[in-house]
Amino acid sequence: MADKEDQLLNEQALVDDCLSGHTASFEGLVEKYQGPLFNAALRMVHDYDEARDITQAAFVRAYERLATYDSQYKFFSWIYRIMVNESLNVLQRNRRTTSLETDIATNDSNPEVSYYQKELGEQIQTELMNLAVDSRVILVLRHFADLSLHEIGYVLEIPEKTVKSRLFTARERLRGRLVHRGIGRHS
Amino acid sequence: MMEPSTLKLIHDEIDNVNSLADSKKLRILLEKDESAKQYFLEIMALSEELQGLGSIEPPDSLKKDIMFSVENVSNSPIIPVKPNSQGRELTGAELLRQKIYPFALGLAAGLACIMLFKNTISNDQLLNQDSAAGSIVRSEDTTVLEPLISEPYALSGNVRYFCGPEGNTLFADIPEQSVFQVVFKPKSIHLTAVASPTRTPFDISTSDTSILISTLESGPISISFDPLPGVTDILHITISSASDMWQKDIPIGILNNRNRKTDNK
Repeated sequence: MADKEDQLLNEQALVDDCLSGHTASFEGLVEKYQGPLFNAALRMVHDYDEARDITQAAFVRAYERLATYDSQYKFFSWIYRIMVNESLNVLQRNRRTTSLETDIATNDSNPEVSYYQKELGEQIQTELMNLAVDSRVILVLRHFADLSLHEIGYVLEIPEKTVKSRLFTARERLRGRLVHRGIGRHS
Repeated sequence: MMEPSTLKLIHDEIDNVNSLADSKKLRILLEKDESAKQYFLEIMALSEELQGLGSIEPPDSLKKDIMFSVENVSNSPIIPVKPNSQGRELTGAELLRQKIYPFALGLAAGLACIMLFKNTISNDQLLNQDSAAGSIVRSEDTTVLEPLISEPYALSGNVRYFCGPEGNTLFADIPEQSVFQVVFKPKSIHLTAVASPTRTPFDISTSDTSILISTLESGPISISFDPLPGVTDILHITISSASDMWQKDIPIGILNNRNRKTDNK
């Protein structure tokens, strides 16, 4: 608990530092959140280069609008909101969606398990991409980025009740697809 | 068919929002109801599978590139946002309504070529010349701007658009080493400044119907402009290179209203 509070205070200090003109302080925030943001964007758009551009654009926009950041919210919720908007813009452009060629890192040392997980991951990602954007985004935020319902409500600018109902629908749709294709434990 | 209350308990359990009493209630219910238990296990598996999708390391250069962009922004003379700005981005639905019309690429490119050869003036000339709507000013004079649009475009750079009482500014990162063109059509604006902190010359061509800005180098560029008085048309902005294009339609009436609103604060 105390660690979390320290972390929030530290983030606020970095933000304050940036606002007083020390651009280099922003690096601490980039260092901390570039990985989670990049990966969440990757799950949403399924394109390595696009995810990279989205992450970069999100940080630059966050920096430009740092003065509007409300410290009653966590910095990561705020920057996720920006990243989601950037991702939606990209998805709306309806550009190419190439398959993810980069290997997904797994911690499992057993090659068979690792291969199975990779296959499973690819199949789930494929089905995720077949969902409507609303459903995909909310599943990524909840289960991949591990945001709470309250945080998702803030990120998507919707009431918590709507978050719940969208999550329910999204899970049902994804489960239906996985069951239909006999993927993973849904076979 | 499962009871809605059971479904709610199951999904709330997955989201960690059940009270202790509700969790206990669910546990008892699952012991009695095999189909509910099966469903719960499936949803739980789904959650674990999504969590287990795995992460990959972001590109090595990402942090460096972000900080480079951030430093560029901080060196810019523009102060982009004021703390209690009421400005907002266009919503996803609004953005969705704005389609890209591929045929306009050909139109814009053709028009761009004609304009380029017809009436080319340098940026220095632009900044020093007088115009009917007032003197040309440098973008440093723009002090309060509201963010209106930010949209990555297909050249893998970014276009950011701001408006405020001092005027409107479009920022574009130009990532490619290619001919880059910004076209305002119809010419319903008064160009107040074109600036690029790190890059060299660009050409500005004007005609009765459009304004075209061309540059040969990559890098950030900012274009400041005011809508002409009384104009209520849609401002059609096209940014294009040899390989791709970004387009945005902005209703001039909205810009004027927003400017007045900001003035009144």
